[in-house]
Amino acid sequence: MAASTDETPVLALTDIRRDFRMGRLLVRALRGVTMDVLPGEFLVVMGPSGCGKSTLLTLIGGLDRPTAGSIVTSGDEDITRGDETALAEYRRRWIGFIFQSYNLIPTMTARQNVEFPLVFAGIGRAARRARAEALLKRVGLGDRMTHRPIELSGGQQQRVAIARALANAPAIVLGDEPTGNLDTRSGQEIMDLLLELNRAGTTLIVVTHDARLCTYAHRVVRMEDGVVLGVDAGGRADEPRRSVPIEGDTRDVGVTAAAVRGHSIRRRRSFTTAEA
Amino acid sequence: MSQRDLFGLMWANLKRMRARVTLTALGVVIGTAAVVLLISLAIGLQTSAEAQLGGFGDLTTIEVFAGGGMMSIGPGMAASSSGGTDGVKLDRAAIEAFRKMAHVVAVSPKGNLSGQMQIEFNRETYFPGATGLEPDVAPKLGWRLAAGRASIGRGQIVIGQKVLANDFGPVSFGPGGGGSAYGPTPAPTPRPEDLVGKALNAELVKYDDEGTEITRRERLRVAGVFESSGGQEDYSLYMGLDDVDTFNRWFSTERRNARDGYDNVVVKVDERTEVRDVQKGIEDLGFSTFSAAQILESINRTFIIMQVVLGGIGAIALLVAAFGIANTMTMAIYERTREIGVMKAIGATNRDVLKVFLAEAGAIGAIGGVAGVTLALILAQVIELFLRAMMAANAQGSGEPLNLLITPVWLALFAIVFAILVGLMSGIYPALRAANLRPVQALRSD
Repeated sequence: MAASTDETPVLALTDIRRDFRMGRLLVRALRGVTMDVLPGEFLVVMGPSGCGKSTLLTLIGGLDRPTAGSIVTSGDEDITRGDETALAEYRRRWIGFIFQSYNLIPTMTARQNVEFPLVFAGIGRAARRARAEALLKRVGLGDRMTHRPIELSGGQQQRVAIARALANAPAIVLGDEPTGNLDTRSGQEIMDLLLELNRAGTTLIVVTHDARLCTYAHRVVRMEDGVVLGVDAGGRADEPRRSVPIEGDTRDVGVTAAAVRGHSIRRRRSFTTAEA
Repeated sequence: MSQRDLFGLMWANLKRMRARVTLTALGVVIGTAAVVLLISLAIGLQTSAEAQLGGFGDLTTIEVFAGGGMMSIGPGMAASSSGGTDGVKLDRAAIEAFRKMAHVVAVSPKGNLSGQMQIEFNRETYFPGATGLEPDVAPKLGWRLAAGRASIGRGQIVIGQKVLANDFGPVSFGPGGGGSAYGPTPAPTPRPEDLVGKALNAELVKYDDEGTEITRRERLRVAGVFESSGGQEDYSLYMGLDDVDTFNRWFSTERRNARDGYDNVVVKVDERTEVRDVQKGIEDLGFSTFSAAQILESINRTFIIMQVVLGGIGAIALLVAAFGIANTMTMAIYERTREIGVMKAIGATNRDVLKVFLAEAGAIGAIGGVAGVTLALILAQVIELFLRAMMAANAQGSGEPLNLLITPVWLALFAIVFAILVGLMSGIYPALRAANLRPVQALRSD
């Protein structure tokens, strides 16, 4: 098993609970999940529908708040305690999202979609454009910059979404069934791309039904009925995790965001390495 | 998010809902045009009313009358006759008190000739009003001379610009002029410099107890002619206060001792804006007052009420448009819920989302406002042309250019700003809703 205990996790989840009230019914989607996300790992969360894996992902991604429990970053900050703005900041600096249905903005070109997170990060036009173009090339869409989502295939749209997820050089990229809407071949291509990113140092958490993904993972978390049944070794359990350490507190990620402006980023160095 | 990015995003979103934005903005166009046209109408009416009333004369002088006030110029107009106490005398002491008031620059008693005086000039007879002034006070009151001197010695007069003007003074039915259908051609108005130094024959007339006419002849030398002030002063001639006293004593049937008070005192104030306070101060001493500024103020007040009322009627159309904007934005949020979720997922704060939607609502207001003002200006031209054509058809050439609608720059700017505000206000509720959407739920919607 990969998890060596003396390593600081990127995220430490402790006893996470999430209840939903549906009319008079109380649904316990998560009933106490405790787990760590280690730097540089490819973590796959598997389980039948309704097991709470997607809910877990939204909590990790700061899109929702747990009913109880804590999510502490390597910057020693509990994101369940912050206000809305702090949570938005966390999403911007720490997290990149890849959705099953891509969720690109239909009126924007591929490049504009990738630039969009950088707009909210307050990054200047020229730097934004350069970064978006580099990322699109990185995911193999160098010739599709000005295409709108409708002009792209599903696989291509998901690549744009991946490039967008990487725009702010996040600590963790979250994938919610990223291959769910794709045919086998496109799905395979996306999986390969994710593998490549992970090998270059991106920490990935992917929620999926797709058992094929387990072969790419360092660890596989099996969930059922809102609890973690167990953690298995994935296909790459023995492959060393490559990661750029995330030091300091959350604000340190701000340095990263600032560094995007100057085109020299610690975490981005990993892409450059991969590109080279 | 930078202003520029916000603007870019807003523009892209407006373009995407082009048809709806156009229809929604049309409501604002109509509302704004209505507000501008109706207020322009009110301003136009006010301006022509002011023009018809003629000049208001000097707006920085206050006429003060002895207590018990006799001035009352129709409802709503000036001349507070309230507070007049019979005991208060308009004497030297009162004048000194006025002089000590803040912002008062000059005070002069005025005496009115109490009987009839006629003046002959160029074989025409005039019946001007005559007012007695202190000899050297005119310059202090700010009255400028067209010719001659302002100081009035015994037997001298300084005359108002219009005393000898044909539109007021001369009573002439002589056969001399080449008469038109409307009457004899009036004699030309003499130039001020021609009058200075001339001695005019004046005749004072009174009747004794039996009704016998008694006349007294005087020679009055013209010391100077005042420049036109545009007010009533133009139609009076001025003589020394002592001369007026002398004549009045002659007019008076009963013997009177030397005056123990003046009929009328004129107070000059340094600033038009101070008139109201000074006037109040004088009234508090128990005198009645009158000022052109006060009349103008009450006329303006009436027209401001009119502007507000007419503007308010126009604003109803804008109010309806506001609901249109709110509706359009609410629909936009339903359609873009998922997009809002995405924006939040990639790091937009609630504030960012709020700004995007507010900007869109404000922009609809701005587009409608600019188009509405443009439309109003075009319509105003059309109405003007139409009216002019009508007038030309009815009465040939009679009539100076009439401006029924006057749109000042401030009104146009105000209307645009107001339209933007309407847009922003209508956008507040939808924008807040968008901003406060829970990201998970927003992402789940279709």
